[in-house]
Amino acid sequence: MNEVSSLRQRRFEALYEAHKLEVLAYCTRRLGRIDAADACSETFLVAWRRLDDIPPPPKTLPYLYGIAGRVLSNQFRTLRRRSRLDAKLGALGVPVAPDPAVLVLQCARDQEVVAAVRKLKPKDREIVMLYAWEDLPRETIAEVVGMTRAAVDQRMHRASKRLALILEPGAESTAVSTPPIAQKGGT
Amino acid sequence: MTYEVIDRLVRPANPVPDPRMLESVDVSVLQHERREQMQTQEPIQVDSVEESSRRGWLIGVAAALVVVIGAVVLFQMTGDSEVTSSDPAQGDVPVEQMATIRRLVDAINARDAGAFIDAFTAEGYFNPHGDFRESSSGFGNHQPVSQVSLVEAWMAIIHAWGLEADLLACSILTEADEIDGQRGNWGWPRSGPGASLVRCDVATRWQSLSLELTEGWVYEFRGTQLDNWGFVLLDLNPDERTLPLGYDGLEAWEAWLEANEPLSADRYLNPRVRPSEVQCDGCAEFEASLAPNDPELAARLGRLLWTAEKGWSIDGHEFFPGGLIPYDPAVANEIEASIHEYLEAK
Repeated sequence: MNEVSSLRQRRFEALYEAHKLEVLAYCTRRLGRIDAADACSETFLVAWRRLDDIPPPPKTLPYLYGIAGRVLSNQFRTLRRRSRLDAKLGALGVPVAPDPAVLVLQCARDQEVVAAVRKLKPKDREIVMLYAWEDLPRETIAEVVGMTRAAVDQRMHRASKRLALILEPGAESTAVSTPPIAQKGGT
Repeated sequence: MTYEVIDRLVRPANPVPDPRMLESVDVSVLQHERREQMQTQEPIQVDSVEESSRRGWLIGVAAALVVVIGAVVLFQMTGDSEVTSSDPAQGDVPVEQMATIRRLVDAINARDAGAFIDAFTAEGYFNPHGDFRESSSGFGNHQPVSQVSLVEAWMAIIHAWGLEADLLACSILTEADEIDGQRGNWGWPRSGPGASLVRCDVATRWQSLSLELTEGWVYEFRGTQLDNWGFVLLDLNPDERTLPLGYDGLEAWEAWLEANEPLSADRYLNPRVRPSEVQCDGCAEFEASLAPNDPELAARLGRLLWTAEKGWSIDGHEFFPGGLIPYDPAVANEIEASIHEYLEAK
């Protein structure tokens, strides 16, 4: 029993050491530094409980991203509730902490881009982030988000059009000039 | 264009372009917290893929009368239980579990996707049960329950049909109940040792359809943790109901519509398709077992097993309805008017 526990513990330690920075980075990109540590910790707690299910490399990290994504879903809801509370407290004159996500943004343009990314639908946003920030291949993204490769491509295409519209005024004319028949495609 | 835009705009805005940037982050908190938790948390047993498949089949078969919105969770009780032992629905169910049960019912009635999901934590998404299946009845996809847009889409469907759930009575299911299939639990499979099941009789009123059923909502707990939630149909035609139609009545409306308004029938009804044996091994036997001495009734009940011919999409989520309520929620208002017309003509 102790030997099994010890093996399990060592396996987990190796997993943790190998991937803690990537998972922490994943959480930080989405949540900001302050809450990322908690999310990372929770992700590895889930990983500890699900240790026997964790696939070997190269699927280990995408699997952990999948866990982290779901942990963050809960954290976001908590943050939204907190934001509502903050708004109420603000109305009462009680000072509130700034949005932690803002703390990790360094320049105005990046803020603008991140704000645009945040306007995407949740799944589209996650796909874009996994591609651009976690640098995952599309096949792996499809596994992480539980979609087909074609569906991922479709959402990427939709997201890029939306981002271009928001961030680059020139892109708007491209979208408007798209023939109506093409705009209806896929519906 | 797709990747060029993202590569050019989004990639450079990466807040953490290199994870090594975070090496200076104090991870001792993580280490400490992890060790603390690891010492107190027993690893949760997760079924093998084979077991998962078998359960998937079992649930599929039980889909005749079972709708599963599975999600395995670590439910951390937050207290604040408003349920007391004097709650008439509570029966022998512990207060903490009853609070969870009420939370889910309230979330469904309020169409509150956030509250619904809040009953489930991230833990659940990796259990073999952790599929949130898309359909009018919450059955048929492979998405996690964490997706608020999916839950919202599902809630849009039940809202279109005006679902109102009314808890009647709850009780703990014993292992004997499961073995002999009594009390309408249809052999609900436990996910593993240590799980406990609570079944609540629930009057489900589908206001837009004037339809009232009695369902058994089954909650699988592990201690105070909610592992699973789903339901079975207990009575398709409850004697005591507040709405005019039981399921017999709904079937009669379908027949009336086909006879009197075939064009509307084409629009409103959604033919049910019997799964082949390839798709559902053992379904025929299960169908026959629903009413061993009454093949006609067994066939009628069996239709609830079937899938519907046409599906629909909400907010990017594809729904493939089951046989219970296969109609497209987009025409819910028209169907409601048609049913009222039928009731007046009857």
